[in-house]
Amino acid sequence: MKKITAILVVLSLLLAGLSCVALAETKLDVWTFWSKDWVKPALEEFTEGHPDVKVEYQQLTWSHGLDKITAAVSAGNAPDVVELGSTWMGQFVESQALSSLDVASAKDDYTGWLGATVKGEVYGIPWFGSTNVVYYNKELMEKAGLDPESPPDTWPEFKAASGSINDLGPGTSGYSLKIGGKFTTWQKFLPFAWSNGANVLSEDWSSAKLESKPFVEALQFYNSLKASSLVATQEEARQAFYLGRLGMIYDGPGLNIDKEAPDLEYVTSVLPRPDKPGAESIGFSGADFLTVPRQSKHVELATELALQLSRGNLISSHVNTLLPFYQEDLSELLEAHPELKSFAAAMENATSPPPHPRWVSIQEAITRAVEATLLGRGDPESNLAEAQKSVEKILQEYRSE
Amino acid sequence: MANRDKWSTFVLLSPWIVTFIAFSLYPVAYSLYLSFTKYNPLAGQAPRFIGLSNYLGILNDPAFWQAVKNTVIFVVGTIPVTTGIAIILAVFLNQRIRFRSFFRASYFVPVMTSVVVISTIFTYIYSPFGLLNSFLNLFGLPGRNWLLSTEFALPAIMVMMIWASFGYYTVLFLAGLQNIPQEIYESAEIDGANSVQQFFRITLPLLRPMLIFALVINTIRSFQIFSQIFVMTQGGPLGSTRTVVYYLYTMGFQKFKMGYASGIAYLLFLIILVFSVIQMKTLSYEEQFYGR
Repeated sequence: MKKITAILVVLSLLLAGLSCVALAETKLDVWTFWSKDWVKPALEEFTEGHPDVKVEYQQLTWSHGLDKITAAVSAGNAPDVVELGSTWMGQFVESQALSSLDVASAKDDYTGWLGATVKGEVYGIPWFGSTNVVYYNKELMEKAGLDPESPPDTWPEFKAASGSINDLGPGTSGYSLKIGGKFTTWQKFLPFAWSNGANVLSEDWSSAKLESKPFVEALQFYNSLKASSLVATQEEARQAFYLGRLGMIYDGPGLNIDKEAPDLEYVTSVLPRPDKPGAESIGFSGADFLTVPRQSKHVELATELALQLSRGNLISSHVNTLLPFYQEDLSELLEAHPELKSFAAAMENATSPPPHPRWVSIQEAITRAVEATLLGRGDPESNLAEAQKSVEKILQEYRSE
Repeated sequence: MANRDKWSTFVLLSPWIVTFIAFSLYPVAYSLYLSFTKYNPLAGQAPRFIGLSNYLGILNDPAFWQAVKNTVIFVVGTIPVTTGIAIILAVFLNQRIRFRSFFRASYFVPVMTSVVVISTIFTYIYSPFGLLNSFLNLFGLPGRNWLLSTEFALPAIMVMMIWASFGYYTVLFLAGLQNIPQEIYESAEIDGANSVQQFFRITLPLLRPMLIFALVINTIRSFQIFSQIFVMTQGGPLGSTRTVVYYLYTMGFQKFKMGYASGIAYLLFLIILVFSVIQMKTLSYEEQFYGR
């Protein structure tokens, strides 16, 4: 009797399982870093057009998102659409974790494809990008006898401005040299090097260029700002700026003045350039892409959903300084927020680090050189010489693999 | 009948056995295997066997040795202090004092608080405009950016961890103290021993089993320090707070060298094993009484 019951139970379970499989619709998993409410319109529109497809959305966190994505991919459990930052693209493409996408029809409607293109294949849809500008505290500038209407344009002017704000008294700093963490140090420094005509790697990525004259000069100038600057982590520098204790900060979408210090008056401007003929201010641009992991069984559908998500200013309407790559959206955003034009302008002249598959290790070497210099451990030349050696070794290891 | 008992034992234990095998035993064994392979979890390819290359690479990796050094400093610097404070407080709380329950509870509060919350709060305390600097400024002392200093970042985290963990060991020692029969103290008093003598001749020796337990547990935990570093400094500045487990994490989850990271995990296991064996041998209870 017991046996029969057991067999019946097993059979009914099997049947239940089978019926689930039979009824299952196509399911797409979507992971991004944003609140579901923000992306909902796109998801709804997509399911309206595809009633047989079920979309499951998950929001990732910035602190653990990458770990979660990595774990899912290695477990063979990757989502169908996932948002990736520009600095992660190189590793993911090299590991062959992403599908190349057929986006020929959409290509002209977007900018920003470069960061997702490797050897002619496109691995992600450019969603939005951001760049940094220098924010100046208007009140401190005026107190220091500077004209907020014409913020510093060149390095010497910049350093002088930092000095005069710093001289306002203890508890007030001019500029902020931000260090610490995985990204802050190099992201805030490299624009100085780029503006000075320096590059991290040679064009064909065969050698490092950290000992080149423009690179060393840039770090020397950066270090010379130290006397009048607050050396702090990103969050500390932002707090200081909100509190009105900091004159100048190089920052982007993470600086939330409207919310944290609504009464603070400020002006923004692109990062100053070296005082030599032909020098241009080149900022750092980060971008986020919507990608489709190779493991997805529904690449075409996923691509369609990713395109849907990338339109309609879903994120940019909430965080204005994240500028959409979809051109129609961008013009709409700039019309509604003319103050963003300085960001759009900075964006045009901004660049990203080379998407080398070993960039994570390369950035560590640069971080080390910059932090050692700012913390008074050795001079720019010797620290960059050491970084040069490390990066050469990283490049060599990569080639030999 | 005996057979049936065996079965029911297994069935009743199975929830634990299954989860233990799936979430502890299997991962431990699998990572031992991974430590002999080259494996990029993103690539979707099977791990490739490369023999001892990972271990040789790690042993020649200066960053690994710096992490070992930082971790040993952390362990050696915090454990004696934590243990000392805990014993003194336990003896103090074992006496009939006013508000005893209040003190007992309040020392335990940090233990119940999440490490991430504690780390975040201390990040603010140590920041340039934080509580610590404001406090120092009251006395005219200069502040500094504690967590961005190569000399002070690690000690700052050590101080935080001592504060966060002594309550747990206080409770352990308190339990140990209450197992010491009161009669021993009474007879010592009749023999004329003062309280300092009582502490060193009676309390400490009889607390020994608990002391060994506390030291071994604390050593293992301290060698595995990770979350504090992850939240507060990410190993910086200049690697001065990079610990072994944090280094393992960067290798495995940022550079995707899972085999290398697994190798680090096994070397850490060896280091902890050696430390624990030394502690057990030198402090062993049996040796004290029967070994000579």
